[in-house]
Order: sequence, then structure tokens, then C-alpha cells
Amino acid sequence: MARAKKNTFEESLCQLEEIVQTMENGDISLNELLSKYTQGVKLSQNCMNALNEVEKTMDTMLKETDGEIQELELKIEGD
Amino acid sequence: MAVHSISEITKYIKKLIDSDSILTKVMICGEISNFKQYTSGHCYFTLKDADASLKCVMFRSRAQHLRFVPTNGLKVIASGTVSVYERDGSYQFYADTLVPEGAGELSLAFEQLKEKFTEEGLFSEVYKKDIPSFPKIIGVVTSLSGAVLHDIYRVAKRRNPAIRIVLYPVQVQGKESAAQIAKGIALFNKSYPVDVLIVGRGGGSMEDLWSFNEEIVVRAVFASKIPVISAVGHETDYTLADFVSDVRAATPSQAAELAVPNTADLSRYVLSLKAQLDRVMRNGLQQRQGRLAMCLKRVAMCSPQRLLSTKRQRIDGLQSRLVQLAEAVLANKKQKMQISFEKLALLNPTEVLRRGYGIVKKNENILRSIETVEHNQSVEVVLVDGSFTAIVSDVRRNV
Repeated sequence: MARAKKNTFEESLCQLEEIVQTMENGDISLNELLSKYTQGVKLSQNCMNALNEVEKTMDTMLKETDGEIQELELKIEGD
Repeated sequence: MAVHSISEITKYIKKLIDSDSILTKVMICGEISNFKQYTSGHCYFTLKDADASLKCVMFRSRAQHLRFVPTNGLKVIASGTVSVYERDGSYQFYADTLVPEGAGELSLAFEQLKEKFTEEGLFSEVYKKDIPSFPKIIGVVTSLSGAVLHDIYRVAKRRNPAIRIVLYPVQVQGKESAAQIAKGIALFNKSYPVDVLIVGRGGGSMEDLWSFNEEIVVRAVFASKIPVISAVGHETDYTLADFVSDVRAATPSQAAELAVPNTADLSRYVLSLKAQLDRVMRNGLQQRQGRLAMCLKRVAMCSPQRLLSTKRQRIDGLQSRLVQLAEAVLANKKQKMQISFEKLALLNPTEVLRRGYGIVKKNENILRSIETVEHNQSVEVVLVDGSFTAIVSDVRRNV
């Protein structure tokens, strides 16, 4: 799940870069220009949302006993 | 028996030595003497023991990696190749690496392992993976105690407060250490996928850092599908884990910087892309507007009104030309008439009479020939200022 989110951001960013590139190269129809623009705005919003998303994340310490992985809360002192 | 030139025989000896499997890759130990480094950077020296000596060369490309200054009398372990220097007809040792023997077994082991893994291609650039540009979760394999985890945590959270850190605590030195580290790396790969891994520990002696040189760790890092950033020891410490990792960080803080991009930087970048997007869109629209305006202008040029007014103008032109023409024709006629009048005036009989001529009439008919007059007939003679009646007294014909 963490991976999917990362991909969303990276893919959105890549797509956004591509769209800007395509639009800059010119030679596309007005319809295309408009739809690319709409798409680009959406992607940039996706990116910003992903960046600004502050989930309540718990830092974890893994402990393995007899092949079982236990997730313990990781507490760093002084922060 | 054939006779050979010195060159031929030397080439033959060189070939023999160069094709020997031991001599092409050999590690030797001995004491340095006659050490000399030229300004070119190449080093020349002799390695010797109690009973023999060997001439050695270390070229600049190798010598620049030396982490100590070789001195006469120093016992070293050198790795390299034995070959023949044809010009002098002598065999010599071409050193690739040089390690002081005093550093002990570990240095030797390090060099041997490094050589082995290099040969296997474990350090090759082709296997280096990219660090993801926006990781959400990073795995750390290090000690629970100590400054390393603390540094990584502090820097990572500063750059992205939402970053999640997962620690697999290990001993970073000692007997169990290497196996634990390798296990941690494998565990993340197998059952706890994270976006990027940081593997490391703080500074220490070569012995302290040794776990990160061990084969089991090197192989675990190499096998990792998750990109690995190594952060072992201080800036100047190199371990084999550093060579095999995807990126080597000089310090734990730098590892965190490499692993976690600054969210603010990314935000700025995305916003700059958005601004670019807006600009391109605006330009695209403006360009089209310009083209449209141009077309409209050209259409207006072809409108019926415009065409009509052009025709109208032409008619006006024709009209004025017509009037001019008529006037010219009239003037011409007038002039001609004037000339005719003048001619006519010349023909006026009274003008003739003024010059002293007379007109003879009979019964109002002008006489033009003597045939029409008879003797004693009365005729009227007209002069310029009057007339009189005369009697024809004599008729004479011109002869």
C-alpha cells in the first residue's frame, strides 16, 4: 500500500513532466491542448496532495521471533 | 638451432610470463626499499625479503588510491601482475594495490574479498538501482542504541514529517552482527517492503566495522531488490558494503538526506511545473488568437462592402476621366472652329473689295465671264463703300 502511494506520486510527476513537454513542443490541436492542460492541472493537484498528505504514521521496530514478525512502536528520544 | 634476436626472445619470455595464471594475479608480501615517486605520479620501488628482491611499479592511476605513504622498510602486501619490461630485459611487478602488512590480517582479507567481489561483478555500476524520488517508508538496519538511528530519524523527519521509519535493530559489531544485518536486509525484501533501505553504523576501527565487509552482508545487499544506501563509519571509512550498495553515504545524516527528498523542494518543483503548464497553455491560446485575428483581417479585406467600395472608387475614376476627355475634345473642336472662322474671314468678299477689287453684277447675278455681257448693257459695279451703274461700252476678250 505504501508502494502504491509512492507510485501515484512518481507516476503523476512523470506524466506531468511529459505533458508539459508535449505542450511545449507545440503542434497539437486546440482540443488536445485543452485536454492536456486539464489533465496537467489534475496531476499537479495529485502531486501536491500527495506531498501535503500528513498521515498519522507510526514508526516501527521489527522483532522476529521464531519466524514471526512483531511490530513494536519505535520511540526516538529527544524528538 | 634457430638464431633469435634479443627482441624476439624477450617477446617470447614476456608471452610465457603473461600467460601464466598465477603471475597475472598475485598477492605478495615484502619490505619496501628504494621507493621513489616521480612527478608523473608513477611509483617505483623494490620489494624484498631476506633472500630475494623484486622490482615493482605502481602507476599513477593506481597510486592515487593509496591511503598511506609507502616508505622504505615498510612491510606491505601488494596485489598485481608480474610481467616483463622488454627494454631492460627484466621482469617486474606491476602493483595494483598496496596495504601495510602491519594493518594485519584484516587488511589482507579486505583486499582479497574486494578483489573477489570485483571479479564477480558485484560492485558493477550496471546493478546500481535508483533511489525512489518520493519514498513514504524507509527501512533502517542498524543498532537501536547509538547516534546513527537518531541522526537518520532527525534528518528524515525534518525533510518529510510524514516519512515512516521502520527499524530492524541489529548488533553492528561482534560475532552475531553480520548474520543479523544480512537477515534484516533479507527480511525487508521478503516480508516487509519499504521504499528504500539504509544500512549502517557509526565510526570505529577496522575491526569494529568488519561486519560490513563480510561476505554474507555483501551478498545480502547485492541480492536486495529494495535500493540500499550504505552509511558505515566516517567519511574516510570504506567497507565492502559501501562498494556493493546502490549509493554510499558518507554519514548517517547524509544517508537520510539521500533517502528522503525534501518535501518543500518537491513542492517547489511541482509548482514550477504547474506554472510552466499555465504558461504553455496561455501561449498556445494567444498564438491561436493571433492567427484568428489575422484571418479575420483577411476576411474583412474580401467582404462585399469592401469590394463594392473598390468598384465605386473605380467608377468615380472613370467618371472623372470621362469629363476630362469630353472637355479635351470640346477644346479641340473650339480651336478647329477658330481656325475655320479665320479662313472664312479671308474668303469674305468685302475683305477682297477692301483690297480694291470690285464686283460686277447684272440683275443681282455676279458676272464671271464676258460671255454674259453685251454691248450697251447696264451693269451694277459694287466697290467696298458703295455701288454704281455702268454701261458696257466695249467688250474685249482676253487673248
